[in-house]
Amino acid sequence: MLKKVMIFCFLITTTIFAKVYWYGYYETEFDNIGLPKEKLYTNYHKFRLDMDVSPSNNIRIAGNIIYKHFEGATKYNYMNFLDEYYHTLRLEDESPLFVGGTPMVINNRTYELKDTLFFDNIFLELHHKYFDLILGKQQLPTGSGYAWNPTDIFNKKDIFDPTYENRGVNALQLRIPIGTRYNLIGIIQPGKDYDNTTQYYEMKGWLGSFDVAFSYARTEYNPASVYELIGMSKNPAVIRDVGGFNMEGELLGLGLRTEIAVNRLNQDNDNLKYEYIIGADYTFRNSLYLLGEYYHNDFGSEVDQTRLIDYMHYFNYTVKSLNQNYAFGMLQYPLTDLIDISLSSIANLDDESIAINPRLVYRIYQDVELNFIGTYFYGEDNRDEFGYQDYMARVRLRAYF
Amino acid sequence: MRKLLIISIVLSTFLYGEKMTGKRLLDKAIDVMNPEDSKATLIQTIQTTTGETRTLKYESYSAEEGKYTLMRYQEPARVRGNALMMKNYANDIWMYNRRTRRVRKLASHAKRQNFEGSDFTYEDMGTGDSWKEDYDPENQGKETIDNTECYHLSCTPKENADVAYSKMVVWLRTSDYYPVLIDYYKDGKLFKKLLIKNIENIEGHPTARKMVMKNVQENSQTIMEYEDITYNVDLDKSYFTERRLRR
Repeated sequence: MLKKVMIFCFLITTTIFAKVYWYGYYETEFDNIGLPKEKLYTNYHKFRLDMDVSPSNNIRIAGNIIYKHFEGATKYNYMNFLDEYYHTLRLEDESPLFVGGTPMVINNRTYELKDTLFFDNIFLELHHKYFDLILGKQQLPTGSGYAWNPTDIFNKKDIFDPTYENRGVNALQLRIPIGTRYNLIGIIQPGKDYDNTTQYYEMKGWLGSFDVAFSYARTEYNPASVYELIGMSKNPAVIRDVGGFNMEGELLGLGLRTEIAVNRLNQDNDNLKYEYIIGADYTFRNSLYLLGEYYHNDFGSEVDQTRLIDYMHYFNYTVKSLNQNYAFGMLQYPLTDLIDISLSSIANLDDESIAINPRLVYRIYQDVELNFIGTYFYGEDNRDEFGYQDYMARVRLRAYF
Repeated sequence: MRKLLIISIVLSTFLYGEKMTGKRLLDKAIDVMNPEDSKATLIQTIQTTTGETRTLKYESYSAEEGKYTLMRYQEPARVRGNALMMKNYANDIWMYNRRTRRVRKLASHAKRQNFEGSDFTYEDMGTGDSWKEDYDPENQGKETIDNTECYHLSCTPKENADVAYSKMVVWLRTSDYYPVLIDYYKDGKLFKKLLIKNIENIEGHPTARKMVMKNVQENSQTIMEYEDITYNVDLDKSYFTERRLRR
């Protein structure tokens, strides 16, 4: 009820302004997931309505509401996505459910897709001669990587669809331009207390052919919900300091990017965790585009020590990868003026499994796009990250208005 | 005797005209095509290979004779609000996505991609002065194009120049050096033709209100028209910042 009142107020208050831009899109997606023991079919309808109004040159109010309706298989059992090896808890440090040497078997941990109606973004933007202030639920993209963003502490990225839009983040963002080349950025994401409040600071500039940014973030690393899945009701929150470096630009005609995050947990300097990407891209004269990225993540598990808890962390995005070393490659080519094709692959370099994603984008009409996205998983062992699931196929239609 | 020599030189200059080398012609064409600064709204109508039409509308800001450019899409809805900033004649490119609010620095090779599915590449739209560095122009004499006397200028890439075309042939009006037709060749074959039409004098600058890029190999074409344009808008490089790109 409260949500409906909020939406009603949002629509009324925004339309009283003289010039409100309304736009958005309708999207529907059909997913078919092939697992060794079953096939899942899911379909969703998503309606996004955006508004944008500028009462003056220095003020902007913008936001969007999303309604999402699911059909088909809406209840997922995480365990069906994992080889049975991972269903058994074998070590005491893995869970208190492991008692007295008896292995605990978990076969059912469900996740349900529910119909939702929510404000994805709604923010006020104030522009002053010396700064820009953005207050409210907003997009906070950070990092230069394409497939992974080690310095991004705000967003969850789908590795199989890395450019898909992110959810808005409740935050206050201050951007101070320094000359024409540099920007100082401060972001506060309020929490219930100081420890629970996320802070992010970035100094970004343009040097030669490169955009360069140094950042510092302080956030709470609290994977309690993950531990609850295996019977640990309480897990102390950890304060995470993240020092970041980003660079993207060009060297000898090749596009280069790097992103480095140095993580310190609970101010322990002796146990720093490193995450980084190194990537390059190139467009040939015939418009063929190539991109490659290597990702290392100290938070990922060692390949022979991967356990259920590591998958739970990954599914819940408290870590950005299951294991430690990955490679991403992509080829993209405009087949005609209406059709783009691409082939991307994500390789887990630790267990040597791979996911291959062919994709076709067909712009049927000016504002209507049809996407065919496939994923084929290959790994020699069912215990490999991409070794258990067979395939995934998506058909997505999006119509803008 | 000295006076006679001076008179002879002045007279011969009047009689035979200024000797126009290819380089001088290209310099003059680039000067006349790239006024100091401008602000415009453009409409691109793309006739696709399947015969359908798609329309793009965007506003464009330009400074320092095309060295700095900022373009922001107004239509279609799919890309509305997205923006592109090019500095140093499109050698530095930033792209802004309004939905994700992400600004990406692109390497200069990205300019080889087509501009939103049109027959113009980013390179066609933002290179300006770089023609001088990349091509050797040669004056091939005068020809008449659509009843207009033109210089015929043939531009071949310099050795090791990283350019999109194996040759460009440009016809410039003899009256003001404004181009009326450009043929683009790839691998020695005619690839695209740019027909420059409806040339009007706006605020003292010859301006083509309509340009048609025909891809003769793929049988598609894109028409680019100015909905409005104004010059001397007092833009300088300080306008072209990430802050501006995001607004």
